[in-house]
Amino acid sequence: MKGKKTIVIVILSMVFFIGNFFGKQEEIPFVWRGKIIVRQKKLPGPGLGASGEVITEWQLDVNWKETRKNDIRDKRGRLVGQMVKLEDNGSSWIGTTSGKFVNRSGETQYSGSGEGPGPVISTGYIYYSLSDDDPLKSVLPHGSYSFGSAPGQTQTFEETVTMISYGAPTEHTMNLPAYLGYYVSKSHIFFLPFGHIGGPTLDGPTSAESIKATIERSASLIPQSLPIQWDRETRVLDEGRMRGSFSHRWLNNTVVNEVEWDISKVSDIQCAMEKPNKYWRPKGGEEKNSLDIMAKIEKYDSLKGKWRFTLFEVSREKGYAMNKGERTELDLEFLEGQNDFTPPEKTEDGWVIESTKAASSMTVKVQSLDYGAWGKLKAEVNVEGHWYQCLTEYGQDYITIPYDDDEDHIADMWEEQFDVISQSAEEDEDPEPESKQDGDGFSNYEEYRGFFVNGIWREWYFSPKRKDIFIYDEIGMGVSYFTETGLMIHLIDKEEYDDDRIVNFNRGFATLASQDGQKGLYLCEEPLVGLGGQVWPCIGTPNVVDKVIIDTLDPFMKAVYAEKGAEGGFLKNYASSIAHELGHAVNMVHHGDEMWEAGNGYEIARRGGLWSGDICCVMRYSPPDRYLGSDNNIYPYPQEDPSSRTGYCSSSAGTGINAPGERIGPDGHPYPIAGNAEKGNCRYNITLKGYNKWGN
Amino acid sequence: MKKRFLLAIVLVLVIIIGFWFLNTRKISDSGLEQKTISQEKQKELLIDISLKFIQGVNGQGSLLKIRLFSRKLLQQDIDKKVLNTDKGKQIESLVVSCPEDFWNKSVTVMLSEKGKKKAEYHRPETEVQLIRAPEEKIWTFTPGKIYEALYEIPSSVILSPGTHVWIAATLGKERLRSNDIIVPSPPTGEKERLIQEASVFIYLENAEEVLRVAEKLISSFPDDSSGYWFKGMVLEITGNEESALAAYEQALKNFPLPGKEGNVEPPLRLVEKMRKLRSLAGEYQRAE
Repeated sequence: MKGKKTIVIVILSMVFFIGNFFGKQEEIPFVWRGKIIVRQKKLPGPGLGASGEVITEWQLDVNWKETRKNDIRDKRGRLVGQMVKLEDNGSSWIGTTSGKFVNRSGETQYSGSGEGPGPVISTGYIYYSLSDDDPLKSVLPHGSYSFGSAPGQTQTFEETVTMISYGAPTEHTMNLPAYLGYYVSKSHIFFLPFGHIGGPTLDGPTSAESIKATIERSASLIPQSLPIQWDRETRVLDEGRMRGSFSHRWLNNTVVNEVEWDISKVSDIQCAMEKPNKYWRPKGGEEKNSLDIMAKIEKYDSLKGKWRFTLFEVSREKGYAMNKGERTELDLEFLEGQNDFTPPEKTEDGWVIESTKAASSMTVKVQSLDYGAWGKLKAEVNVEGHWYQCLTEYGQDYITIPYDDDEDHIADMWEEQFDVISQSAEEDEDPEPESKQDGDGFSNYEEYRGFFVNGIWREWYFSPKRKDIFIYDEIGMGVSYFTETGLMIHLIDKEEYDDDRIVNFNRGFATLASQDGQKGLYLCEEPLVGLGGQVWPCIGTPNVVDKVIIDTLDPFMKAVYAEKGAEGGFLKNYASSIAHELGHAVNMVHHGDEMWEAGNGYEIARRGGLWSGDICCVMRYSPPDRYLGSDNNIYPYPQEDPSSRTGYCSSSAGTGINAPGERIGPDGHPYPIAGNAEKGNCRYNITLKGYNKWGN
Repeated sequence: MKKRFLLAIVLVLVIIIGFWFLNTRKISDSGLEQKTISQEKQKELLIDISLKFIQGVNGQGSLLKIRLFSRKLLQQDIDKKVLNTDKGKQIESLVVSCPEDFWNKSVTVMLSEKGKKKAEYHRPETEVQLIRAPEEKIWTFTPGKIYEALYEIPSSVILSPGTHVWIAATLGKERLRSNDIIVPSPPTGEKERLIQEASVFIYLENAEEVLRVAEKLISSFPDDSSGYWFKGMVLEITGNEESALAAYEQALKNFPLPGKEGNVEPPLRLVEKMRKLRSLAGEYQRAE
């Protein structure tokens, strides 16, 4: 029996302990924040023939807290009010002196400044009356306050005074301290309920009658002229704020003292929001991913509130990649069914979600539905009816999703990886491979958002440094030596460009204004008369070339295929043709003007013509029958090197049998054969964007 | 007695610790560490199917050329060459057992007429005739390897312009779907119609019919190169090299000179053929 009782007692005490531990909520911490300006203007005395002025100004950024509360009682012992002490809680200040006095004999210049964190009051209090018949009513009404700083007790800075004499040119400089000194409200003069920094620290009287007598006695003693910025009014809270100003002159109007203040009581609740993981990037489609964002009340661990997260300025790009999907909904959302949250509500440009429980911190899951999604998120917490905005460590009241400090809607980590952080989202620089035109028709944002290639979206695949080209290869033979261009070639499925062959058909944000989308190439097979391949309608950029045609129909070629006995033989016969036609489709031209060769039935090569230049270049043709030697005789065309027509040239200079330098070749015939190319330098001519034609 | 008391204490402590752990766990879970929901999803389909449509004219059936290849392997090959990665690493070929009678039983020709929601399907052996197909029982796909088959849709199947044609095929558990072809309007010009007719006969390897159409082209369009080109091809593969060379020479003579506008590609296929035939005839020696 006794044992059971003990257990019950233990459990009850533990429950009490737990309840106390988890249920306890701190009082909402309040602070006073605002500005005070303390200004003193000094003018020259009359009759001295001097001019000029010197101004010393202090700008105080106030942060005070209420620390102690002393109960004030009347002689019957009734509680009639509370005296609340104000103490500094992290104020900061800036002080400056500038100006000069000039007379006939010389001038005196004043300069100096200082700044820093630190207390800006040496004394301060607020009186809250709690009784209608408070004996202090006439001298300290409800809400009376007073604060100030005695000179030398808080802040100083060094003031430099330079005296220049015009007669015998001399200059004398000395440094003097400038003190912060001001008092707001006259009641402080003989009444310091909590003492003074640097002075008595004992509390003043707590008897209402005694305080009243002290104040009344001091009122008659207040001098009319005061040496510092000293208020002569009793100050009372105005709609809960300390605000007001005073100005007075003394020493025959040669000194003007001015003080202005506006200080409000605000909660000290600070709510912080973490920035998103820098290494997270949005994804979409079947790979849609999510990100956790946490916000919390700082400093006061047990303080709890209701949370509200708002996604705003959310992107609404078409589809979920540059060439995939058709959705036009918002690209970021709050994950459905999150614990402790209401269902998200849609707004004009985003979503709002609220917590269903009070908590000191809350984590929300944001889901991406697009590989290029972006948006902003803010978090607020409601504590006892007031909403408090959460800030990042840099003081911003929102975060960007993904992590994007330059707010160009591209995740910073992607831009850093490719070293394009300084570029805008619209930029299309792609310098590699080097050619006469930078760029590939896709902006940085479009490359970041990415494309599906053969059903797959791959991270880091599209580089803003390398030119990309998309090809729908209907034949399936591949692109052969076209890889030698160094272009990043993507073999797409047919549905990965649209009916007009535009690859970035979901373009929207940051697309190139200079063109209406970037097209991919269509590599197909058609019967041609006398040709192995052709671009239609003409040589140009992918935006100009409708199709790249290869003729695999020819039964003669099929016979070659059968002879070789493997697909390799078949493909090699077409490899150069494919690379040649694809070269035309990125605006490469032949090495020379073919008019001369046409006149000779394309049987005789000539200097600078179709067969000239670097023999490795596929923009040349398979060897003709003969060539025109430098002596104007016709010679049989020699055997070409096996490396012939397996790449693209980087200059117009001839190589191998075309290498410059008149000579007699091993066969006793004059060399070079076709010499340097009239055009050539095919790699340099690669042009992907725009609507250029014929190599221009 | 003492044991019970200790047990009670332990129980209470377990409850407290559990409660505390759950609470703190929740906070640590809300940190920044993230994992993507899914890893990069690999496309399961490794084999592609493409369709080439050769429109029949003048009462011919239309032809469908179907190709099986692996675009993924082609892309791997490109990535390897362009990005210079995986040096020395061989791209693994993809070996697939050809299902029994694949070309006849696993391939379906789909037709969807403009305005009609439902697609018709035609299977080989019934409406669609398989002309030729690879005989291999094991397919070894490499970058560039193509397996192709030719089918004929008889002229009795009406293919109105605008009809969508595609191929559906079953390969193991995978369903392959080709590109869509939209049936074009038949060529209106006589020359274009004859060229199209010749092309169909070339695919069907019907030399006699190619020659007949070629002669018709030559008689109707003697200044055009196409008739001579087709004639030359037929004569060449039937072993009549001398006549083939003459036909090619005439084709070259008729070939339009390159201009600044339009196509600039010279007829080098034609020239290559001429060179080969001349070489066979020993003309090179004479030229030297």
